[in-house]
Amino acid sequence: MPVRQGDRESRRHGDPEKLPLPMCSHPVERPNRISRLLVPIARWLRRHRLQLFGYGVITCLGVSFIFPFVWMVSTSLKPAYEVTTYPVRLVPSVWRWENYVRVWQEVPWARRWALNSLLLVEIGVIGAIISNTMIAYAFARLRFPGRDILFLVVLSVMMLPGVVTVIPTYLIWTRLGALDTYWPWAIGAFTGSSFYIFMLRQYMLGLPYDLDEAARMDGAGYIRTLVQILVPLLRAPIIAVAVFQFLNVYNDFFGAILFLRNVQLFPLSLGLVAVRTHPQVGWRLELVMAMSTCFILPMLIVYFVAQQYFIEGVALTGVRR
Amino acid sequence: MAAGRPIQSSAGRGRVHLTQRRREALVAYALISPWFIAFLVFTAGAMVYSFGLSLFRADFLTPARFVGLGNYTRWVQDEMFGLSLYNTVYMLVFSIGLGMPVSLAASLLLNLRLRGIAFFRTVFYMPALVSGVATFVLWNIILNKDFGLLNWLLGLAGIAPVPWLTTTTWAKPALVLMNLWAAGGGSILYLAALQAVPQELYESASIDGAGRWSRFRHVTLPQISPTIFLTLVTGIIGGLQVFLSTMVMTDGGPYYSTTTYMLVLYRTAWRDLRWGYASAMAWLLFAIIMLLTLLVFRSSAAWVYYEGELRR
Repeated sequence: MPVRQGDRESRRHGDPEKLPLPMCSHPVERPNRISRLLVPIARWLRRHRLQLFGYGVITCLGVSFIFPFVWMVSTSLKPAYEVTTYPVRLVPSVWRWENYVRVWQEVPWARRWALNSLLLVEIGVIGAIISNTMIAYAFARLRFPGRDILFLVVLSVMMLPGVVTVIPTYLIWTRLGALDTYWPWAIGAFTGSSFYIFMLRQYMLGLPYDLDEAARMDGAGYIRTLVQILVPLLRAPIIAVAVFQFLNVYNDFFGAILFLRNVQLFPLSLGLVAVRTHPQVGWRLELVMAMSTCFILPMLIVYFVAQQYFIEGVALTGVRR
Repeated sequence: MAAGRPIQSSAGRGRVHLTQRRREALVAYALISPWFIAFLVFTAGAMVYSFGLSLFRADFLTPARFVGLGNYTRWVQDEMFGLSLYNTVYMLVFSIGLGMPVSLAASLLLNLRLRGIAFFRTVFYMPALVSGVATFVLWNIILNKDFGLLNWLLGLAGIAPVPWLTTTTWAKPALVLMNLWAAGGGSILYLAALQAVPQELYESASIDGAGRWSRFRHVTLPQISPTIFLTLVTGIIGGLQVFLSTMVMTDGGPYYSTTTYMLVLYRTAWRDLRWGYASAMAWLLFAIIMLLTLLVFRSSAAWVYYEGELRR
């Protein structure tokens, strides 16, 4: 008589393999302690093997994704003599919190850069919200000749490689005397971008049209309908636009390389690149890492706060950047 | 009311309606005008401008001189053309070829119903979130031969230190590795696609006796193929224009082994101020991008499955 005749497991469809009983040779009448202990464990392990495997792999991958950040923070807290030691010590022998103070003191423009970044982000986010909501409203809710063709143009601009426009864009701004000003960012934000227009329009198409109709019946104009009726309903995609735009503007340093020569006008992103050639700070990796950590922190905070909207935005359009 | 031309029944009503429609159109034009003007100047105008420039020998020293396609022929014969294109394509192929499976595998894992999966999703997404300048600065040090994190970890496994960014052999693989880290976790797109796959399909596949692998092969993959296609296209367009990472990390070195096409263009334009020549380079890259994108689009009929079409 087989040992596990009454076992549900063996009868389960699509599970032909037998439970590897640890004490197979033992007669059934005298199940010893060990097998009594091991059989449920083995059974549990097998029932949950996919989850266990999943946990194992996901943990390994997760560690590899997070480990560089851990190392960055640990480096930023080390005393100077410990940064380049080999083998690497993950836990500093002395915790040098003052590295964070020092980097902001020793780099004369660092605070300035942070404020510049803040300013650029503010301009960028406010401009992007206003302009893209406006433009998307026209494409989603109003009828006008050439609408569909123009919207196709919006979509194709989204796919257009920047390489063919970057040189003339620079030359045009130079002609206009916009070097060393923030005008390119401001105008760029207030004229909308394809990706956000597309995202907001998709969302708006999902809102019932009766809302607008009702508002129009009550005598509200187009703009008022948009501002008072639709914008409150568009909270999720507008927050998504704000988050995306924050990340883009904050991370962008190529624009700064192109348009800014004056070191006092640099945003923090370009400052982080520039600081590596700073005579006092550039070779002190713990300070560079401290600055990187400070640089990354706002992005993480914004992401955690607005995570759900962010993912919604991605899911809605299926493109990132 | 659907978008359609209302029939003008009587003159009076027609006129009222017409002014109404005209007002609507005018409001719409006013609303999209900022975008449209910017498009005319910075996209359409810029493209015409740069194409025109590419036909001239325009640097800031001598007056512009018309050279026709001379810039193009010169650039194609330049040895940097082949080298930089090779570097770019090499990194693109490996970054996408390794990155897409990694992203997909990561998102399959994140789609499992495990406790605490939300935390893992956040962790996986972090590298993609901070991608850009912070990644370059951080990895520059991670890849350091003597005290970098990576060589230390390899050393634990008994592997001799690898001179990542300082030899021609390892510089490109090092950058690919960084791209994998930066994009491998950024699988929110795939995750959204996976979660949109109807559960009934899996159930009916199971009833038909499909195992785990064949369910993945015949249900999951076709269902998310539009997303794969999209990431492939955007990956090619973005990947061919890569240069910020190599500029910050290796400055194109060692021995030009990480000098990408776009980096050559950037230097030609902003260091040598040869705007005409650089514009020709830009248009040639544009043509290459278009060609590759077109090939991917052509192939898509064979492997991209859209809802509502019948499979032959």
